[in-house]
Parts: sequence; structure tokens; C-alpha cells
Amino acid sequence: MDRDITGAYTKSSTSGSISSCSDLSIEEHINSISTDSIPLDQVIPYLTKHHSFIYFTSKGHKAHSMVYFTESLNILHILTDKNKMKKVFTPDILDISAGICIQVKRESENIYPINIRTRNKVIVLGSKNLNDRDFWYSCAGILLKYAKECFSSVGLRRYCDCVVKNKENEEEIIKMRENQYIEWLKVRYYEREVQSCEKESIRCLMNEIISTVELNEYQQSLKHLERKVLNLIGDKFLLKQSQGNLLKSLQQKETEIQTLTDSFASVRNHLITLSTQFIPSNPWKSIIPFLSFVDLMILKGVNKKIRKIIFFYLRNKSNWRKIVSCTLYPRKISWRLYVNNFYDTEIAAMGQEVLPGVIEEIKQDVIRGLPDQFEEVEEILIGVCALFPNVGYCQGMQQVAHFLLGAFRDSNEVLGALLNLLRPPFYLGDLWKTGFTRLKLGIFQLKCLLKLKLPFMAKHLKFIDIRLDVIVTPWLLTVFTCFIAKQVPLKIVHSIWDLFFVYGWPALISASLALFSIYQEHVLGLDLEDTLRVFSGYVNCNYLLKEIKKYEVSQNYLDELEKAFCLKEDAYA
Amino acid sequence: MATMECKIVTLGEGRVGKTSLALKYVKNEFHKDEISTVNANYLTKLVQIPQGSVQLNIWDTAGQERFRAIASNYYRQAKGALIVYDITDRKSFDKVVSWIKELKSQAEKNIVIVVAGNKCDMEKERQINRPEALEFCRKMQIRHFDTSAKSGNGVEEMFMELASQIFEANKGELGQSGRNSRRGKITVEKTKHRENSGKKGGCC
Repeated sequence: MDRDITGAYTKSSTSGSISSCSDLSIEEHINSISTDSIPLDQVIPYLTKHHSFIYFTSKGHKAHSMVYFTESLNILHILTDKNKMKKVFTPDILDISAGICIQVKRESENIYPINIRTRNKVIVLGSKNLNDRDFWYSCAGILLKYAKECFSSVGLRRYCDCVVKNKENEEEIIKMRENQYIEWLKVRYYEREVQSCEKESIRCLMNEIISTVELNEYQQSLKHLERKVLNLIGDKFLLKQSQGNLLKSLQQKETEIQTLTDSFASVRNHLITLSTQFIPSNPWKSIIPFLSFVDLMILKGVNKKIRKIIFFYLRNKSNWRKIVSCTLYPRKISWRLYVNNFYDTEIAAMGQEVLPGVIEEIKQDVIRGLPDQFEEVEEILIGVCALFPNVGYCQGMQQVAHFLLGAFRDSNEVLGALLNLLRPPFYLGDLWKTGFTRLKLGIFQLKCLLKLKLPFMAKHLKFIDIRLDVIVTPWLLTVFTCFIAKQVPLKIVHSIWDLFFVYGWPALISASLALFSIYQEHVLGLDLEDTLRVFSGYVNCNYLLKEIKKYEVSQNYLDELEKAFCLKEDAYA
Repeated sequence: MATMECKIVTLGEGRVGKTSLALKYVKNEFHKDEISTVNANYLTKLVQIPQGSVQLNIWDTAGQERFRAIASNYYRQAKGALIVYDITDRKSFDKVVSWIKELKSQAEKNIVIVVAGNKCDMEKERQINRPEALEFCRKMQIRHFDTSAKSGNGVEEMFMELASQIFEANKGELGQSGRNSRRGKITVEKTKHRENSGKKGGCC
């Protein structure tokens, strides 16, 4: 925008310089007037007369014409023979000059031209007479000088008249000229003023344009903002609506709270009235049977009253069974407590000395077949031999000891547990003793039960002519720990042992029956070799516990079978 | 050519390598620390001998002293017995004598007995002289073999010899037993009868 302003400024300045140039030429004209030869009173009448000249058209045609100045001297009339009038204003004429003479071939005469130059064009007139032309030309030149002096086309005649009248009175004329010059200077001053005003106005205009553009922009942004405001107002309205809804729901909730608190207060009052009627009894007695052993131990530390109750609760052996059967975790604690509950586990005496042969035997058996913890197992087995010399060491015991060591993680505890397990109702002592009386009894019991509960299995075993003890002996002698080597999960062996700890010998019988029922579907129809291979291989025992529940055997029934077995033995004896 | 089925028991002191020998022969496997046998294992192998083929049903029994009471269940109908001792263990060799005595009195009369001195790969720790063992066996009219379940030395020959001797001893019964074996019921009755008689004998 600034550039435009400066541009306009420079333009105006150049126009000013042009005007100053013209000023100089005007001053020269003023000075040169006095040197004219022809007096003005002769010139004016000569020029107002009609003179015949040749007018050259723009296309170069010649035409005879009459040329004269009007009475007011301000217009030059050129009247052609075709009655066309050409008007040239005197102030428009820049200069009048004589041209070089033109010779026309057809005519013998020469034509002397006059060139009249205006701002727009050049008018060419021609005369056949050289003197006529020169005189008119010089007269017209004088008139032009005066016209330029006069500065006004209208008052030219009057000026000229004045000039003629006061020819003698030169001083007045000079004064007038000076006055006129002063006037002209004033005009120039005003022109400059006008120019500066123009500049100022242009600047103002530019500024206005800029401001209008800015205004437009601001208006646009204003519109944008207005739109935004409208949106925000809409949002505000929505929010107000939701606020109203929320307030409503809040009121609803408050009323609900009020009702609830009312009902709560009424319930509490009711409770208070009830509690005043209620005579307190000890609640722990009813809770304790549902707690695990660990919880009981924790509760014991709470206060004296609870400790006393728990102590009385634990005095009853049947309660122990409940605890152990309900909460078998962690096994170490439950097994130990369960076993210790029957007998005093303290290892009273050092026992008898163990024969070096037996120790050697134990050492070799422990190293072969067991994965780790040789020394601990050895220690346990030697301890058993020392304390129960009539039981001694039997192959299979090392696996049991290793298994128990995995559960108890302390060889002394394992020894204590084993010492209890050797006695009824677990009968492990009788199981391992020389002669295997328990084993034989167990096999007899299983044989009878198989016939009753798994008749197909019994028939199959009979058909392939296999003695039951081949299969069952490893199971019973290792108390099912031999299954660990068959990749049966330890969890399952653990659960068999849980049952063994709780129920004693019958658990082993029912576990054996359950195993037979699991093997049954794999075995039926096979010959002796394949049958034995199946029995010695891996078996999926995931459903073993369910099966064991199915094949639960009552102690009474086993007692009856024992009696029958003893009779049979006696008969043989 | 008829196949003869026959039952063989392995006997001997514990840890001398009964299970290892049987496993080496039947499955060509050897485990350095074989777990102690509880009661008995059962293995079978068909052997081709010049006279015919013999199906060996090997009952691998437990070696511990207290299992000896049960062992009688296994050798009762056995046609062959393999008594194993450990050449690095004097005591196990002494047991051989008692085993032979027991077999001669309790088992079937035509039972074929073979003695194996196992672990002959441990020659450095040898306690029983080879001449002594040979002399003993010659007296008893029993074949003796030096074997090693670890390297497999003498195992194959021993079982071959056992099979051929059993074949020779039971040649006469071959036809009969073959006929019987086709009808399972009769064999079952027969075995039952024998079992009972055996038990009675043991108790008295």
C-alpha cells in the first residue's frame, strides 16, 4: 500500500517538474515580445481578414480553403471548399512554423507550407505566394506570443486591444505584466497546494482502503466468533438441561437415601430391641468345626477364651479326623498332627544295633533307583531297623521313605511318622515283616472284593492264569509310591496318602480296587504278557479319586474277610 | 516246527543283577542303577535253537531274603531256573548253594538249572575264583557261565544253552502240551491242581 502511495507521489512530482519546464519557456516569451518588428495594431486586422490557402487533408489531398481568426481572436477557422469548418483554438496551438517549399510536377507553381502544431495533430496549410505566407506566418507567430502572455483564450482580444492602446505607456504594461506574473505565481502556489492536497487525499484514500480491508477481516472474524458464541450458547443450554436432569435425579436419590436411612433406623431399632431380648451364647463352638487347621492355630492366639475352646475341641479324636479330612493342606502339618494324635512320636530309645549287612543292603538299595536325598533316606531306614528290629528293612521301604521325605523335608519327622505308620490302623509293620502276613491278607481281601466288585477283571485275571500278587505286591509294599516312577502326578499319590492317613488300611484296599477299575478297560482281552506290560506302564489316574469313592470298603467287611483268611491259614497249617 | 512255551525264573541274592541280565537279553537295555525289584517282573522272548523254537517266559524275582517266601510261587511250575551270583560278592555265591538245594527239593524234578557269575566286567574286584565256581558246578552237574549285563558278555550263550537244555528235557511233552495249549481250560485246571499240591508240600 505504501509503495502505491509513493508511486502516486513520484508521479505527481514528475508532473510538477514538467510544469516548471513550461514555466521557463513562458518567461522567455515574455522577454522576447519587445523585439517584434510588426506592430500589433497591424497584425490583428490582417489576421481577422479571410485569406485563401491550400489545406492539406490527413490523407494528403489538397483543398482550397479560407483561413481566418474570429473577432475575439481565440479560434482559427479553416473553411474548406466543401463547406467543412475546422476549428482550432488558439491556446491549443503550440507553435507555427514555415515548411520547406513543395514542388508539384503538374503545376508550375511552388507551394509554400505552414505547419500548425497543436497538442493532437499537425495541420498543414499551403500558399502559392511566398510573401503572403511569410507575412501571415510571422503575424500568427506574434499573436501566439501574446496569447501565451495572456493565459486566457477568452480575454485575448481585449488584451491585444489594451496592448495597442497603451503602446506609448510601456510602464503600465510592464506593471500589468508584473501583476499578471504575481497572479500566475499565486496560481502556481495554489496548484502546488492542490497537488499536496491530492497526495494527502491519496494517502488518506489508501489508508481508508487498508482500513476497509482490515474492517472486512475483522467483520469476518467477528462473524466467526459470533457463530462460536452461538454454538457455546447452545452447549450452555444443553448443559443447563442436563444439569436440571441431574438435579432432579439428585433429588430423587436424596429422597431414596432418606427412605433408606429411615428404614435403616427402624431396622436398627428392631435389632436393638431384639438384642436386648437375646441371651448371648458362645458362637465359636459352632464355627470351629468349619475351620481349617491353620485357621484354628491362628485363632488360638487371639484370646484365652478361644484358646480354651479350641483346646477342648482338639481333645476329641473324631474332631481330628474332621480337620484332617476337610483341610489336607499343608500336608506336612496335617499328616504330622494326624499321625501324632494316635501315638506319642518321641523316639524314646536308641534302639538296637543294626547289623552291618543290613546297613550295606540299605545303602546299595538307596543308591540304585532313587533320584536324590540318599543320605537322609538311608538315615531313616537305619532308624526304622534300629527301633523295630522285628520289621527290619524291606525293599520298597526306601521309596516310601523318600516320598515322605518329600512331604516332611526332615528325616527325624519322617522317622517319627513312619514309626506310627508301622502300627495299626496303618499296619505297615505287618506289611513289611518277614512272611508278609498283611500283604497276603491284603491280596486275599482284594481277591474276594475283585470277584464281587469287578467280576470281569477277576475273570480276565483268572483266564490268563496270573496270580494277583504279581500285580498288587508292588502297589502295597511301596504304598503306591511306585507310581511316582511311572510318571503319575505326585498330586494323586499325595491324595491316596491323604486317604491312607485318615482311614488307614481300608484306604489302600479301595485305592487298589479303583486302580483295577481304571486298568480294566485297557487290559480286558489281552494275553498275559500284554496285560503285565499294561499294569507296569503309565496309566491316567486323573479320575482315581472319584473311583476310590466308588470303591469305598467298610472296615467291618474287611474284618470279616480277615477272619476268613485266618481260618484258611489255620486250615493250611 | 512246534514252539515250546516254558517258564524260567531268575533267582539269587539281591543286587547281583537278575533284572539287568533279563533286560539285557530280552530288550538289550542296561541301566546302571536298576531299581530294586519288588516281588517279580515278567519278560518273554522267542528263541530259535537248532532243534526248534522256544518261547522263554522269564519271571524275574526279587532278591531280598524276605521275598524268598513268595519266590516259591514263581518257581513252582518253572522248567528252567537261572541262579545268579555276583563275582565281587562272596555272600551271593554262598546263596547259590541254598537256592540249588531248595529248587531240587521244591521244584519240578526235570527243572534245568544254570548258574551265572555276573558282573565279570569287574574282574579286578573278583572275590570268587573261576576254578572254584567251575568245580562247584561240575559237582552239581550244572552249567556255569561268566556273564556281564553291562557289556553283554555270555548273556546270549547262557540263555541259548538254557533254552536248548529245556527243549531236550521236555521233548516228550512237546506234543502233549501243544495239544493242551490249544484248549486253555485244561491247562488252567492242570496248573491249579499242581499249585495245590505244591502248597501242601511246602507247608509240611
